Amino acid sequence: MEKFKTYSIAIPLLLFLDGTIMQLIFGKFPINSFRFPVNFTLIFALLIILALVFIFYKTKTIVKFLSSGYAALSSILFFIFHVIIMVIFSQNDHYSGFWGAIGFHKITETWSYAYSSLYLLLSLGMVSFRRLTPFNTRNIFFYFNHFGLWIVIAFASLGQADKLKLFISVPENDIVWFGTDSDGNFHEIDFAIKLNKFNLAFYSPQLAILDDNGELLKVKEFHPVDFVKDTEIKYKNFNFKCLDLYEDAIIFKDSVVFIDDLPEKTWLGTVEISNKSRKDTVYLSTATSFHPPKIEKLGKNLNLILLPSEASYFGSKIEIYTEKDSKPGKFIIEVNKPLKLGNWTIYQNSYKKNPGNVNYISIFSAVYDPWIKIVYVGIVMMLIGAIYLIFSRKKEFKK
Amino acid sequence: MIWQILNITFIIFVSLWLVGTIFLFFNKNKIKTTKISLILPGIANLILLTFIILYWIEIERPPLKTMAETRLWYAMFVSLIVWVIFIRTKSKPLYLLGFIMSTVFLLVDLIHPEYQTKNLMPALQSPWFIPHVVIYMISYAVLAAACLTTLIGYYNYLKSNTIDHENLRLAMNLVYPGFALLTIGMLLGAVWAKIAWGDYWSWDPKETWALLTWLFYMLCIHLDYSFPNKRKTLMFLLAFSFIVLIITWLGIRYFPNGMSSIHVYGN
Repeated sequence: MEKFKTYSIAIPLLLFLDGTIMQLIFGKFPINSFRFPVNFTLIFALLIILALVFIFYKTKTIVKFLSSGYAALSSILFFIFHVIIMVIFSQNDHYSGFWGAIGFHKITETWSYAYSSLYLLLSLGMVSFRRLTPFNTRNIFFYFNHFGLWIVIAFASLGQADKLKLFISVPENDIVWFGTDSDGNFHEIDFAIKLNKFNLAFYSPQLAILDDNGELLKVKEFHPVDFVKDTEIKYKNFNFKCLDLYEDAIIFKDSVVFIDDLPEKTWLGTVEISNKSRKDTVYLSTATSFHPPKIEKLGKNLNLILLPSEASYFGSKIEIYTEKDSKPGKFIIEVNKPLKLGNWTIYQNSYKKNPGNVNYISIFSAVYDPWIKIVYVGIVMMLIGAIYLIFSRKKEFKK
Repeated sequence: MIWQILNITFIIFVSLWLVGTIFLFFNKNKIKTTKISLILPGIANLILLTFIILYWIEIERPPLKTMAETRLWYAMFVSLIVWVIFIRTKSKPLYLLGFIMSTVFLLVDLIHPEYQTKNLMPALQSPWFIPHVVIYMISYAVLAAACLTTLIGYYNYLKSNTIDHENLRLAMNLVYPGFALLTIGMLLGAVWAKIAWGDYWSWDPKETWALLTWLFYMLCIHLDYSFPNKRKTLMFLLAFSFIVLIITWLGIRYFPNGMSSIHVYGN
């Protein structure tokens, strides 16, 4: 056992040392070289090797160590080390200097991180084989927990080499058949999206108080409230009562002016302000990039405002053109409701509106992730294992 | 507004638990004590749960968005879990510590209520939102009970210089389901993220911290399973893991990139 203790310390140290040397010589870990069929072959080969080593060297140190508690603790700790680096150092690969050179500012792209994943896979894989027998309930769920995690780590890490995420910006009434990846490279895709209509809805704005430095007042006595008719809120000597709310309106020379097709959402609200010495109704309007907000100054550090409203819904009515189909398919894509299209899944990502343009630009992301179904198998196995784990100590609890 | 009656709810909750605690520690009549110490906090928990439900109905969205709202759930689950553990184990110190912990979290809510809005951004309008957050909150509460149990064990250790094995066993009996719930919460979050954005894991600061918490509890379980003699190390590791958990929940904004997380609570 003393030997195992030495291994459990030496292996991570050597892996880290080797990983760091590789990092300094070759730069980041070349994950993109592991595209299909390389990744699949490697995962398959790793499983076969683990199985063969387990069958033929069952009583040897290598199998005993990798399936021992020492290897489990050592591999988990080695992985924890990388995650700690991740929370301490800003993860941005533009950093240079010593820490940048050894990859601490983009730890998931380092050799050391790849080694730690491999070490986890070896330990998890070997212990999964070991617990295949005897075939009993406890071992089955042990297997679900450990081999499920094995599948997730293997296919999520090596599978990402094949994953492609493209951002596609489509203006209303326009057709687009290309997207850009996270590095800004253009990719042509095998379908085209026509945006027929971009739908957007908003919550009502909120009544708030700003101090003279523009800081929002959030204290026990006052906090921003949703602007709903007849809502009343008190602060210091004042009583504020929300009255009417107008959509797409601004105040111009003391008159309410409604404007269609404003480039941004604008709200105008009337608020009744009262205290011992006054009672009057004022107009407040939200700020946009083309006009300042209408604020009511009530004293030092006491400016009553309307906060810009948040989107409550956005979604796109689209048509999809493909080479196969003669007629375009009509779909609606919303947040949390993506569209599956062959090998791609299309998501409603965000939206924007260019100044001076009345039409919205809907931003979609199209994701090609061929290994996702296998990752889901791993996730389901882990979920089953976790459900068992909830009740695994029930009997002992009753003792 | 329902939130305005939080102070009354707080007073009733604390009073009922306090009477239960006083009876537990100072009354000699065992049968009567057990009954009162169970019934009164049981009613207190029901009152807190009713408050959450009424508040949910009023704001027309799940009350899981702001930090204040998660503290409310946490206080309810911690008090509920120590109450259930008390039924099983009759552990007096855990009963007291659980009551104090719930009270502190409710008190923070009274001092920092945060503003309550009905708004819920489109990404959160998902059937995955409630299970993801609620399962995490239950798991945090179970692991809090495990940490409190460990602290009691550590106190006993300081007093007698011997390890309280029974106590540590109870702590680990809580760590197993707590870790399992942590796993489920994390995996449900991953599936939700895949459906909403196309990535099941994006190394968002909160995700990274949540993974760290998960790994530390995984370490506890493996240490307990493979090295049953390392009780003292396990005791410290359990306490440290809970510190990591608390940072994940309440403290990531103080770390690099913390505020860039998509998981920063709306306020």
